[in-house]
Amino acid sequence: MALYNRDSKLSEAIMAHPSLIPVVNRLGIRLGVGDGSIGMVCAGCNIGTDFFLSVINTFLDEDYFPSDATGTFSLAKTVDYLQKTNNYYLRVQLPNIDRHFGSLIERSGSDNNLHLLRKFYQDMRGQLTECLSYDEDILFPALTGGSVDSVEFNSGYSEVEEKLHDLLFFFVEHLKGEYDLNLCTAVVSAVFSLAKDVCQNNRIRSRILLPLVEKLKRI
Amino acid sequence: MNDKRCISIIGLSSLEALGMRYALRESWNGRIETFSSFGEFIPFAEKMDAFIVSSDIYACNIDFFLPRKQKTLLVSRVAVNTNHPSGYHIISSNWDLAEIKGTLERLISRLENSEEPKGELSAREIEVLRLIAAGKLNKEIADTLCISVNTVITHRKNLSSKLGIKSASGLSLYAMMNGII
Repeated sequence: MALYNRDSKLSEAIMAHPSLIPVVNRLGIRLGVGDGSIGMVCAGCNIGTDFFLSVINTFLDEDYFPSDATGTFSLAKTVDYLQKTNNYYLRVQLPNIDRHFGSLIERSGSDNNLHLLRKFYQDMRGQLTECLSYDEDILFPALTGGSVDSVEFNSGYSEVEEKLHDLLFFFVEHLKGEYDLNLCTAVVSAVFSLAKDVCQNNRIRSRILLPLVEKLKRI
Repeated sequence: MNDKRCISIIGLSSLEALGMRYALRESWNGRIETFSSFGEFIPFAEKMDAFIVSSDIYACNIDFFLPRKQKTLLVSRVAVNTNHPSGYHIISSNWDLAEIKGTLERLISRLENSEEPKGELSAREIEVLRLIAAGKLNKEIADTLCISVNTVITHRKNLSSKLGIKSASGLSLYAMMNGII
């Protein structure tokens, strides 16, 4: 896919990729962006354009590897972005899936395998929550406190990514019995959205945060 | 050649079907099933590996055949060129026998070069799956089955690839859902 640059219109990028909405929100931009270029909008919101472009391009394109050629990426801003992402998982996406899954089981028959799928989801949820707690309690304070030498990244996110893929796959290929069609679609859509978000933010973690930390370790 | 595989002939007249069977037998040792209508065929569709189908049945059931385009051969009763530009695999009843056999051989070749059917696990893979579901680590599985850890890793990769499942807990759930444990 074509990468976005500072002259691309932000509104066009968002219209083409609505999944960017929470991403630009986390970076401090709210909807009602006007018809300005990314460079103009970033300048108006006091956001580094290079950093902004790296985040959205990494988020959208799995083949994109950002380079901090200008040396302007900020550890604090990257951590802030990931903290907001983690909060979005915890406060919006996971409760949303919990609620839909509960209603789905409540309103569907008993001759299906939804209970097994919910158990699988709950195990994955537990693992994701552990990763988020590790970030919040250990990783982020260490990074913002300047103790980068001792930090270790949690490898659990890639397992979470695999389990989210499997959960979707079980719904698509192995769901059996009677169930409420609308609620099932709501659960699958919410899981799909979380899976995509986790996968895309893992790229931001490994391609922006990790190189920044490695660079700081060498100084 | 995998003798469990089956080519289906759908919607051809009795004579056409008979001729097709004759032509197929030159290069195909697997099973051949004949169905006079799509309705008769559809209950067995999942068990079929390739489809030789009349153009009218194809046109009426394009939703079924289009995703299986590579394994479908369209039988046209009107004259078509052997290098038909549509991208479909076509055979025409006005061709000579050599052209028909050549087209059938290409269909069989596509079948033989395709992947092993998804979900068809070997006995060894099922043993490995059972042990994964029991929570065993690669080393423990290797010791139990008297094989190397590398072989266990290969079995795990094959299981993931055949079943489309990436995580160990996903493999356990699959084993549970399918009565393997």
